[in-house]
Amino acid sequence: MKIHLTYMAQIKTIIGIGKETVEIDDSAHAQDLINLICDKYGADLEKLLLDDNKRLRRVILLFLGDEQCFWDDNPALTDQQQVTFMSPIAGGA
Amino acid sequence: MADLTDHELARYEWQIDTPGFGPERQQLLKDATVLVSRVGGVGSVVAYELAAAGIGNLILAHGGNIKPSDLNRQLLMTHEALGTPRIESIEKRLKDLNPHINLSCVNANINSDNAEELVKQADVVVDCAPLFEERILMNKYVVKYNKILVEAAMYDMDAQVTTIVPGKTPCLNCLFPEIPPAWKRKFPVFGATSGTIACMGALEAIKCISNYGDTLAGKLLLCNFHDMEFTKVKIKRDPQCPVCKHIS
Repeated sequence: MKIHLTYMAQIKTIIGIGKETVEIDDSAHAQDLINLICDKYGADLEKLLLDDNKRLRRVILLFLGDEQCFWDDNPALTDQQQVTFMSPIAGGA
Repeated sequence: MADLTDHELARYEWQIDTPGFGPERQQLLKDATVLVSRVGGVGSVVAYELAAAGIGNLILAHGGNIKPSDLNRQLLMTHEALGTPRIESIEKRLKDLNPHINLSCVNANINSDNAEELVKQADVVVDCAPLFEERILMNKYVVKYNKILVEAAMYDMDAQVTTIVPGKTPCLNCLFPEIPPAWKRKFPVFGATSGTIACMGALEAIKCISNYGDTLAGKLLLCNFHDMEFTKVKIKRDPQCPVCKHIS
């Protein structure tokens, strides 16, 4: 199935693009998608997204459509779904 | 019942005329106290808009002296004031704009010594700090004293804004339960980007105080100014949040 990804903030800086569409198994869940992009973009992205236990850092915001999703929820993905990853920002002064 | 002077009715006439607003809501702005910290790229414009709108009492916290690299975005600072305390420039520029509001100016950033006292005095806090340590500190006391927190933040060409209502929406600690290890104090920014999200934050504060329109409570507005794309998403409370799990 196809998943439409949006990257924001430092994630976008590391990946170098703001949007892409990826192919993933029809049975995939959110955690599979995160593993896929970490494998695709390498150590710098993995360090930003995942902790030492390879779990999504709690400070990374993940949205499926317009709903926030926690790592532990690990919902199933659906074809043509919009998924947004955002790293935390505090720009300010 | 509104108790606005003739001068205030004239000064704020064009916003009082906004359909559904009126002098009673303007009175709510006059009676309100808002804390803005810091008063830099985002906070300068927030403070300027709130002063222009007639928020009666502004508490402004920002330490340090003006540097050349401040001047692309910190719009309350001036070239001729380089090297002088930022807070002096902030106070002067706001008084020049609106001498009829009360300013309480603090020559320090939010820290563990001043956060509780400053937040306690405010009805609404507009969080414009560049460090998560300061943001999390303000959030802690916002929840403790049941204040409203407007969160405005940006990085590069991306930005976000939301409104936190303790017990009803996620608090900042729900969203960011730890200090993000990758966040750095220096970040890329155009003044127009920080200024745009600042105007949205100021409008949230105005709407919360005057109970006017729908706010972003429980929703996060994501802004991609590079491609001019805007998305509103729902955010969730963390049932295990140590800061706000005990209130409903």
